[in-house]
Amino acid sequence: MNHLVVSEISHVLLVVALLTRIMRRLVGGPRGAWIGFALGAILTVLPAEYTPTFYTRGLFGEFSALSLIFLAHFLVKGLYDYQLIPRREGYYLAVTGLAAAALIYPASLGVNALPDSYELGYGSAGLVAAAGGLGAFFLWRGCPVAVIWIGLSLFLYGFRLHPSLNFWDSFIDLPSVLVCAGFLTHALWRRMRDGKALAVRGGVDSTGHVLIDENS
Amino acid sequence: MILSGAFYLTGLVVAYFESATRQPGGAKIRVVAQTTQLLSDRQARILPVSTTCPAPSVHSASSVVLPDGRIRAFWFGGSKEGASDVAIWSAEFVGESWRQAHVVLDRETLARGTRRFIRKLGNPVVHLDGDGRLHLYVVSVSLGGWSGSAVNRVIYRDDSCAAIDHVDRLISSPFLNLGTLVRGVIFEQEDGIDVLPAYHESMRKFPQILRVARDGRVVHRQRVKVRGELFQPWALVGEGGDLEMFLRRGEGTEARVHHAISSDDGEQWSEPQALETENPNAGISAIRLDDGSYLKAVNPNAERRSELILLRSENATGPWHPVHVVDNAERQDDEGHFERVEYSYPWLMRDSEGNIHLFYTWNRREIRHLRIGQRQLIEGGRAQ
Repeated sequence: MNHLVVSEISHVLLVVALLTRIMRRLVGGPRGAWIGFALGAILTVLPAEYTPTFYTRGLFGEFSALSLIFLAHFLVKGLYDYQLIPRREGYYLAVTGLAAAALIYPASLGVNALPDSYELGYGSAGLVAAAGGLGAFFLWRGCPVAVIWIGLSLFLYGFRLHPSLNFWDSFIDLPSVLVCAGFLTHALWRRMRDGKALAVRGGVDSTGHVLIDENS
Repeated sequence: MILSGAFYLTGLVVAYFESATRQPGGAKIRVVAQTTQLLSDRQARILPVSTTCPAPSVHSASSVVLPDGRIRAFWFGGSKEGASDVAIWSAEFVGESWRQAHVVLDRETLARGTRRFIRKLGNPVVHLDGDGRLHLYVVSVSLGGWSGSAVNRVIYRDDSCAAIDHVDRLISSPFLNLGTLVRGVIFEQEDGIDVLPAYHESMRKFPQILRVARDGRVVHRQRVKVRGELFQPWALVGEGGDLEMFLRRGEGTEARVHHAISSDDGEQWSEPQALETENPNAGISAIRLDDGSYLKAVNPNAERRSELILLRSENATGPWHPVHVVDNAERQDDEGHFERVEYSYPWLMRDSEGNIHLFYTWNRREIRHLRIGQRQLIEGGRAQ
């Protein structure tokens, strides 16, 4: 039954993190964030049909380790205005999450041309070794959050703490993949915006010529 | 960094041992001995099953023989298919008649059991495990249409289905766990794992085999590769212990029943081939008779479901010969006012005396039950 406890914790985390962020915006500052946190905590102990987790579980299903990392980030950001995931690590998480999604989603939805990697997740030592290799890479690159993500996925899978016995479900889920896509899209947009601003103020244009600001 | 590294290494070691010791598939399918010495010669008789069920719309029957020989049928019923008031109904066949139908699962009970919002219920499929416990696999939807389905397992305390022992939510898809449904008869492996012929329908429809452990978690999922859309697999143990599968055709596929075979208990499947039997995108059921021949319940017209017949063949791939017309729009006087006559979702089963039972949906208004002796089917087929 431990897997149900982990499932419950992940949905409580979602509700609390969401309300913390919303109340921080509405009320303002850390006071609003803590009010949101307390409100979320109270709502999640209501009888089953009245708690928001009853609906979030119906909508999203079970969360993966990557979602837990993102939720922890949003909660800490809401409460303490602190970035748990540094921007550089955010890129690593987002690119890896999207690559994993590309590996499992098409075939599991019926694309015949691709091998069904999701099936491997039920018990492949090779897949675990690959995840281990990825963790070693992140360790080498000095990315503690990414290492925790890999470690948590392996932990949930190895100790059967996730409601699914498939490694991939411990690793990623659709909401976390959408966050990854959103992060990369936002980063791309920001880079383009900054590039334009640089071009107007003075900088390097698309042909490589140096532009001089009128005031410089 | 040291702490996260230690955490990662611990996880890696545990996960490696877990994956190395897991054996998701592989175990043999448990085959229940079914041969009777004397073929039952009971005459065909159709009985209404669901007349005591007040639901105006009923569909998708499933049934099981209880250890003492009684038969219990399950179906879904409500104001209409997909409505929030749809519940799973059940009735018991004792002696020569059907007892009062009663609700064995509703939306609220399943929602409480799975701790999540559920919008509607769908196909129920029942299975009696090796310990004599009733497992009811039922489709549910929290969001959207049937492509947003997931499968749940309900285990009852006893075969009266008055009290639920526990409920599990099956996770069988990485995509928000959406798109999995069940319809066909369930097998059991020798190690107690349930083998579910299931199917996926979200982007496209295809069959898959799910293996569910005693703790209600999927331990393996095998997708069956198909060209076009084929779904609602009905599996049976064929000659030499091979697992065979009959498939309903969907979009982009020839309007015939399709057939695939697996010689390793459902791990690998042959590419499905179209049989001679037409199929109007409707459910199929099949069973093996005591003489080793195959019996199949189908709508034999590629355009409509207004005729339901039993076909028999010495081989799964045919040739198939009609042995009994179950229902036919032309011979019903009370169906003239229906906009569309439909006999669908057949479910074939064999009882402990060797009689064959067929359950099917009659115009979405009733679940009907045909009981017929094997002698009628085998000798009737030879005469034709």
